[in-house]
Amino acid sequence: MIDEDDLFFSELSIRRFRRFKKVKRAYYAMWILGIVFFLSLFCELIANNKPYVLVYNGNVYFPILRFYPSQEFGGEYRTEADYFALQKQSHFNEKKSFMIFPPVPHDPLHSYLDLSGEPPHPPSLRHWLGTDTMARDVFARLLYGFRICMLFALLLALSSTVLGIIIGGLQGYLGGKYDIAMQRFIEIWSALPFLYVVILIGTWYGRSFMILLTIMSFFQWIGLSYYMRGEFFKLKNMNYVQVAKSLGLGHFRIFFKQILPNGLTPVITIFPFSLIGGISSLTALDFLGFGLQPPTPSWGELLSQGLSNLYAPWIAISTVCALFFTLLLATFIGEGVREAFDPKSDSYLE
Amino acid sequence: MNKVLQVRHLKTWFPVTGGVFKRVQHYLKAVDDVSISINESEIIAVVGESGCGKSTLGRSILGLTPVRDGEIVLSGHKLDIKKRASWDPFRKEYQIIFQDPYSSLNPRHTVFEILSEPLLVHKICSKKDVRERVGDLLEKVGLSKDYIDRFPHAFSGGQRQRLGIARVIGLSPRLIICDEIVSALDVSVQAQIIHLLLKLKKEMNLSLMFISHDLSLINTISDAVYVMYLGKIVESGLREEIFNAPRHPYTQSLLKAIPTLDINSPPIILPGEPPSLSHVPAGCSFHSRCPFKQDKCVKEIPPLQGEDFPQVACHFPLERP
Amino acid sequence: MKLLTLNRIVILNKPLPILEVKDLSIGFTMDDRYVEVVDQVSFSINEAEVFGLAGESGCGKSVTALSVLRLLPMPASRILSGEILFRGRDILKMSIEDMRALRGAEISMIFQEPFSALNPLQTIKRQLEECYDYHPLQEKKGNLRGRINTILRRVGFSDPGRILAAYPHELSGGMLQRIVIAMALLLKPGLVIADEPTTALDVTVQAQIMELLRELQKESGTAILLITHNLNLIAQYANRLAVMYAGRIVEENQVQDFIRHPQHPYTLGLLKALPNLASKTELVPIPGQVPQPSEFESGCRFRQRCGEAFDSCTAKPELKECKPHHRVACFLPEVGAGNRNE
Repeated sequence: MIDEDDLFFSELSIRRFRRFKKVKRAYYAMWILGIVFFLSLFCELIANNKPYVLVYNGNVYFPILRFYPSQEFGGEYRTEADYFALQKQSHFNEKKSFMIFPPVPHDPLHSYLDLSGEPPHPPSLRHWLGTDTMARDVFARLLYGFRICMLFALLLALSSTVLGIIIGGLQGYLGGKYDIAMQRFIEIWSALPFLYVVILIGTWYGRSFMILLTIMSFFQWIGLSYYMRGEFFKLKNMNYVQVAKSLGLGHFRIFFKQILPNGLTPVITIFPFSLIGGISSLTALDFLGFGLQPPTPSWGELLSQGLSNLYAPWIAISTVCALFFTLLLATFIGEGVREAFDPKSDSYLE
Repeated sequence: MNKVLQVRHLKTWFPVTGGVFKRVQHYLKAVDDVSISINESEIIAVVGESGCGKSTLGRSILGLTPVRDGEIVLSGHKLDIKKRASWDPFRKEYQIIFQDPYSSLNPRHTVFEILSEPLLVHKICSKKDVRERVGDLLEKVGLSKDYIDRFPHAFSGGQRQRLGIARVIGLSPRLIICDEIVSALDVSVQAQIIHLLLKLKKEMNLSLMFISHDLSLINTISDAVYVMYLGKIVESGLREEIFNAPRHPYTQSLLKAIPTLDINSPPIILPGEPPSLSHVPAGCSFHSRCPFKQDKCVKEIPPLQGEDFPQVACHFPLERP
Repeated sequence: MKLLTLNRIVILNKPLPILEVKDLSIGFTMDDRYVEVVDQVSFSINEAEVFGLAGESGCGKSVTALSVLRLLPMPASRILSGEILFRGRDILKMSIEDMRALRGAEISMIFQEPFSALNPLQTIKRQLEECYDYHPLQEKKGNLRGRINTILRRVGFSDPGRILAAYPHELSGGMLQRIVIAMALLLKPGLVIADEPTTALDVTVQAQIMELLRELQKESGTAILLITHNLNLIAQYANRLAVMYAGRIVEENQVQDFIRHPQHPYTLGLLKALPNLASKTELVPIPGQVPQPSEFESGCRFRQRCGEAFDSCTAKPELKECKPHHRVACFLPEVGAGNRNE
């Protein structure tokens, strides 16, 4: 009745995955977003103003991996060499040297002050999407911003999921006084003005990635905890949980091994949407200036630049497009997952 | 004879709360003053209609439902019923199998995980040998060893109930409480499961406590029968006593209401329905439906007469023919 | 129409079928697979007769019943072939409007779960009246409101007013099933389909409900298609029965004769596996499992579990008359496998 390859996932999971695959746009969106995110983890190899390899005077250098002072290449200072400028110097070309740059030879933090005219500079062959008000390459900043944004949203979704499962699960599993106490706490907690907390803590402890992540995950778990509470309430009365109890299994095993795997539906359906929420809220905070510390490349900061410099539309347009497509892909995935978990197609007669 | 289980005056009451402050207003007496005992390698049955408290009784005995009062003696050890942990030393030897074969197996665990878990928790065998042991258990309940890595959804109801049996017999229990274990199964498969249990009972010297609403099934397997009505035992006795000459009017009507293949003895109707546990009639709880009701029945609660079998709780028990 | 029916009764002077199911096959899509859950089922129900359709879970008995009212889930299911004649008209070819007029008024249904058969948010009164206020067949209603009270009294409620004002959750399972029966009989249908009407109820209540159903059936002359897994129930309350196994009818007979002389090895085994109240008899299980629809075979589907299977059983046994009113789908009676009727 079952195929050999079905053995290690329950049939329900396989059927759900098949149904997810059938929602074509969700399936492809997952691949596209996944691949782009994976590539963005190696941003340094894609957008960097240091060359992969440099051959100078017969010696081979790997500036992308190591620090070389500019003296090494006939410069005056002990600071890092400006490879871009070096490439144009006459002595460099005389000594039969060459270097290979990454496809986008720009650093997101580097201000290109050698360009003619006032920043922001419009798109050109050198700067595909132009530069921002501080003459930094917009494409490089978008790319690095995407990575930070996605990492932040992923970690936020993960940490709030863990918190939501544990707190909501315990509420459902233990019930009684713990449940009531926690429910009241959640009501008070969710009434806290989140933005003020972020601003306050930001002014006291600075605005680092980790602090922002911690604060936000302290607020994000609440939504999921409601669902987990319900799931655990329902599942703890299932017969197999009763059986596990009568067999003498401990609470830990029952919580994590018997109940949790069966109560993951809300976790998985909500995950893509909390990812979207994470992306949007980080962008919004950055936009308002309460997010990550400048000069961290971020989409929110680019957006606010674009908005205050509407005469340089390439900043706003490129950022809005990037944001739009990312959110669209994530929404497609979320929609596909929801479709796959929809119980309606599971029911049949007799 | 060795008593595997003795329950004396067991009470499991569920509080019903109401009002703004959630005060306890009254109790649902699901199990009210019930005493039963099971000898070694004996099969007893508890029968009754839905809501009579028979399932709660089974759960209370194993500490799965908090007990209010009474005495539970397992293998000669009196338990402290207020402490959940007092059941822990007996978890291995006292087992329960539930009615619904679909919900009693975790859908996310393979057969191997389901069967190995109790073996490992109770340290019956080492991690190294557990796979082999699980294979043996499968064969013991009449399933192929090849099923070991499958998920429960691949099995039919009867096969799932076999898995449920395999899970508990791995612990070599002394008593298995079978809570309506065949009522969700088809007739042809039902007989298979009963057969399997009887075979295992002989091999392993098990005691069985059948909780069921199906009197004809109980007639074919049990040694002794307890009849429950609204949380109380109204009659108990050896199988022949109960089935051939019931003394409580309820037992008699219950037996007569069952349709049989014999067209010449049509079912005789007992009027009314069992009242809900929240509205138990005063006096004898059966008086609202009893064909032989007298004034005394409305006023006084009949005590359960008799120390051992047979017992009957009726002011005017039927005469033995 | 009515006249014609009367004429035929006079002319033929034998029971006239109210429902004829001929060669009905129904297919279902389950997880991308296509299975035939009902395979060439034929039977007929006479006027004012209780016909039992017995079988274990998954044998197709409920699907057959639902198809009579055209209540099968679409598009998961499809009627592959056959016809269902109700008083000579093919139900499967009727228009949606005709079908709606037929439901409730000519054929009605009693479901297994009385709790889910009634809307928890409406009073009994509203549900009883509403069903028929909007029924397309207006002329059959007559003095409906008066009839509601009468029929509620008839099904055992001494105070219909109180019941009518109640919501379903205020009533017990047995009471609800009485209301469902009242609802089913309100428009005096010619045929009532009772799908496991007492399975969710206690034994004592089961006896009450079945007795009530029988009395009402006798009074009104309604035919009943009683679908159940419980052979005891059929033995007590039906006139004729058909036993289904794995989507096919394996045996059809009159009840009295069926119990004494079962012919098919499956029905024989079923009767032996049935726990007996009269004496402590050993249960004889049928080996093996009831096949799932995806495992159905082309030959005799009971072959794997049958102790007497032989070479011919790889072919499909046709349902053949072995004596009047008695049809069996098995090769054994043909080869004369002794007298197996104890």
